[in-house]
Amino acid sequence: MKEDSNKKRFLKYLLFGLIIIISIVVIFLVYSYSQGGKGNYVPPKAEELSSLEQVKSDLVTLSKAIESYYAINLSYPDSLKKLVPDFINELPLEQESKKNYDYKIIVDSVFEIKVSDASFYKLKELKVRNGKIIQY
Amino acid sequence: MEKLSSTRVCLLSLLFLLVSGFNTIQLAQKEELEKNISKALLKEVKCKNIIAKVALDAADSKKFSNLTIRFEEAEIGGIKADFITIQLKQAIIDNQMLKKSTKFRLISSSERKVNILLSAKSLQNYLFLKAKEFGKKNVNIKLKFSPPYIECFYDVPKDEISSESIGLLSKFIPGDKLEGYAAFTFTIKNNELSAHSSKVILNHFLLPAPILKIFENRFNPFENIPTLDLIQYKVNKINVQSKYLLLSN
Repeated sequence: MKEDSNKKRFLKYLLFGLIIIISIVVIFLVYSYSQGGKGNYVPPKAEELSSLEQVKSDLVTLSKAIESYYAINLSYPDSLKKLVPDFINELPLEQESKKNYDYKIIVDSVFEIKVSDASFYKLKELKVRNGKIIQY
Repeated sequence: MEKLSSTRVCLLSLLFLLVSGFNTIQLAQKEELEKNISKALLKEVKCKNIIAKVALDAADSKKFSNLTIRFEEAEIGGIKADFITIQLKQAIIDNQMLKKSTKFRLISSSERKVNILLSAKSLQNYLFLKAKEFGKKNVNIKLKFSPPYIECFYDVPKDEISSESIGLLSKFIPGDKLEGYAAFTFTIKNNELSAHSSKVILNHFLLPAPILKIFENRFNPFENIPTLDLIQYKVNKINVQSKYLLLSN
């Protein structure tokens, strides 16, 4: 008698466990299916960065775009506008001041991009020179 | 007094003529050198066009302060790179060999910067050729650059996928083909290219991260970027841009 009730209890727990597992699998499949339509054929959203991190990322992106421009034209662009649309979709604006980045060719093989006012980022200088970030 | 000033004018004109004549000779020599380097490299590298630019070192006539070479549509391995640009600083080349047998040999350089630009079209062609090489048919892959991702729209028959991959994906392949979308980022170390999938949709199902991780661990690094035989380099940086994939050392 006692054995029978133990068996019944075991089966009850087993059934309960199975229902939970099946529910999780069904929920996962429904979620996975709902996220797989053609409307979802877009890249994931970029993670949000702090102002300083975003500026550094912009400086590196612009610097790489200038290198690519050089690789094709064998000279540096006279303006950052020349990088659009082949190397960059649109020119980024500085996070805090919302101004364009300052760009200049120092000598034939050296270029520099910098923020107009580094104090926004609690720094004296924030720039990229030939791909290297300089900040102090 | 008048005689003295006319002599001075004559001397200055003569000096100007000498300097401009010397500059013209130097310019002509530089242009000839650039032409010879391009000609020599064209014999050894399969590509559409080569442009060489030299900046002569003022202190040492055997040395170039800067030597830049741009290869257009150059073939490296199976990939046709849209552009490969190599910048060499303080470069010394074998001038005798260049003059006598039109052969390019780099003796030394202090710094070398390599930039390889690949368009979505050239990458697609490469994937198409790879699929053909492995006897895969009806493989449709379209690539789009969306920095920092490379988007991939694919439609591949189930039969063309390896059995071990099919085993992992069986739950998501109800029909006879694999169709969907993927967004990848790439990393490169010592010319070895690895892909990291940020999002993969297969036959309307968003694939879970643990499955993607298994694929990443199993197949990475998936490709080795070949180098030009003449100038050795290691590619360690990759950057996705709106029209090009930039590989650099």
